[in-house]
Amino acid sequence: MQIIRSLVPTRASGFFIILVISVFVAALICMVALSMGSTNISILDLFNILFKDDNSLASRIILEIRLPRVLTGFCVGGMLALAGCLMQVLLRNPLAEPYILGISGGAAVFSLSAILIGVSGYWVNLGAFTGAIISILLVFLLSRADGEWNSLRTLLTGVVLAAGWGAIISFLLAISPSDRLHGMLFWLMGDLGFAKYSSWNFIVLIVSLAACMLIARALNLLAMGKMNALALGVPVTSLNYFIFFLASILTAAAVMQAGSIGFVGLVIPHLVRLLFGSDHRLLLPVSVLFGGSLLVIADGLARTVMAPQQLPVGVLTAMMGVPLFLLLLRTSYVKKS
Amino acid sequence: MSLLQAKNLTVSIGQRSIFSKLDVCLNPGECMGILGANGAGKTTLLHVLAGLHTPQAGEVFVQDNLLSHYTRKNLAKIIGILFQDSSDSFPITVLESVMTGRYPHLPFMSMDTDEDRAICMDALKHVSLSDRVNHQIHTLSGGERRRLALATLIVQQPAVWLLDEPTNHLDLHYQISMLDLIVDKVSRINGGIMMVLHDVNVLTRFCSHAFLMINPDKQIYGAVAEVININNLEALYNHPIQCIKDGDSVVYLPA
Repeated sequence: MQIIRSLVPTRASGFFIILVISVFVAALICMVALSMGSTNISILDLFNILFKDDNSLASRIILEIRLPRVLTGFCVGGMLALAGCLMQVLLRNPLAEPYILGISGGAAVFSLSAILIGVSGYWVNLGAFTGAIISILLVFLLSRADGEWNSLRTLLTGVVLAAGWGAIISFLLAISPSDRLHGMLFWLMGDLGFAKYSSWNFIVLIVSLAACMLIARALNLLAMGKMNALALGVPVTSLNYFIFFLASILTAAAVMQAGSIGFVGLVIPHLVRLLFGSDHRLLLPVSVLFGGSLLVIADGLARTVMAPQQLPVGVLTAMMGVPLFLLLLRTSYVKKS
Repeated sequence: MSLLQAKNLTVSIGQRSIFSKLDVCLNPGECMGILGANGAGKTTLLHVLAGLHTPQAGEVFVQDNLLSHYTRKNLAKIIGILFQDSSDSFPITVLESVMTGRYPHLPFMSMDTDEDRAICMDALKHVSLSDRVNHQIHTLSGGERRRLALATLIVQQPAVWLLDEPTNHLDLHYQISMLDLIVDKVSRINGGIMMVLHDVNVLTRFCSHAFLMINPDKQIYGAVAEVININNLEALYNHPIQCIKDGDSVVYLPA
């Protein structure tokens, strides 16, 4: 992948070319996902429908069922990948991912409780959001002993809280009647089946990405270590708080929509780093595009492989992502040695 | 105008007092070597002077203004620091790494320009890493990483260079050529150097001044010729020292 970079004359134009290609790939994947489903609709018909709504059955399926779901999936995937990038820099830990600080655990406890007492739909989402916010505030207040940001203390606080939430989740599963368990498991594995399309998600994602691009160069320095970044002029403490809250809000928004979809937030940032390097000016937007694409394609398969039975999309993201990532890791390792 | 001045610095970490009421001053054109036993607080002193560690008491002045009055970015244009060890990070290339030194000079939201790139390539040439530009930093040896860190400091172009054991990991040739390079770069801009060293003979070869951290309450500061002698060094290291004279040059060795 260094080859791609050395082919182009300057850094900025190299970034631009990679970005354009990524947008194109993401758009293509969304089109493929739109054509997937129990009613087969060819790509050509798809174009006709997208640009001219003729009120046919096919156009109703595309515009009212598949398009909102694909857009929501793309948005959730993008949010998770972006939050993953930010958490990895924030905690200076390659194993960090959006859920590592227990945000999804808190969300799960509250939304599973909502399912357990028998409410559904909107209330489950609201429960997830409440739980996520409580978890974020707990981590923030407990890890901030003397006003100084300490990545290790934050990480440990979050991991221990996550373990606590995990225990409560097991307890809830153990006492739930069996007719509710199916819905709970789907929530835990991540599922787009109940996600409702809302433009707010896109606004959150785009505003967050724009904010991240403003600080992308500072993130490059922070990734090299706190002291290094400080010495080169980055106001590290305020930057850390900013990243923490941004990543948390993104995670909360994603979890609220689709439960705890695993893997996207951990692996997409690493995958993009392996492909195009660690410069956040490129890493962040490409991660959003790839994260969205992975989730959209995984959800397309979740809807179709065992139709009419739907699978939780979190299972598919891992099943597709694991071999892809291992392959890439291996080829890049072989190339270096 | 002094480049860097500390008054009445008191630092303790946990229960342990590192130093108290320490005064030090660095003027343009000076190169100051800092000597001290293990744990004497040499690294802590550099971190306090660079604004990376807040002292319990005392003040640091940068070009006669209080250090706390500077923004991080403006401070980084004046003071650069070479850390004792480089920390691991996510995989990046040599060029990306050295480019981070340009951060304080780049305006908000701009891409690095051809000029920045040229400055970086020039710095890499000076530390003999031109052939490693696109290599991943984890493939470099310890000495090469050290030279990379020096190149980053060169492109940062600060007036004050704080160096924590700059000769770490460097072979005999690079120990001398890198210090020659640094002293030359800094003297051209009439800047100042403060470096922590463990080798008295390197100090006498490159420095104009010496700062000996004898114990938390006692430091000796002055021109090299006045301060570096067997008595002071024995007090400093608590170890007998012998001195060999060969013409004009003097070499200090542990007895």
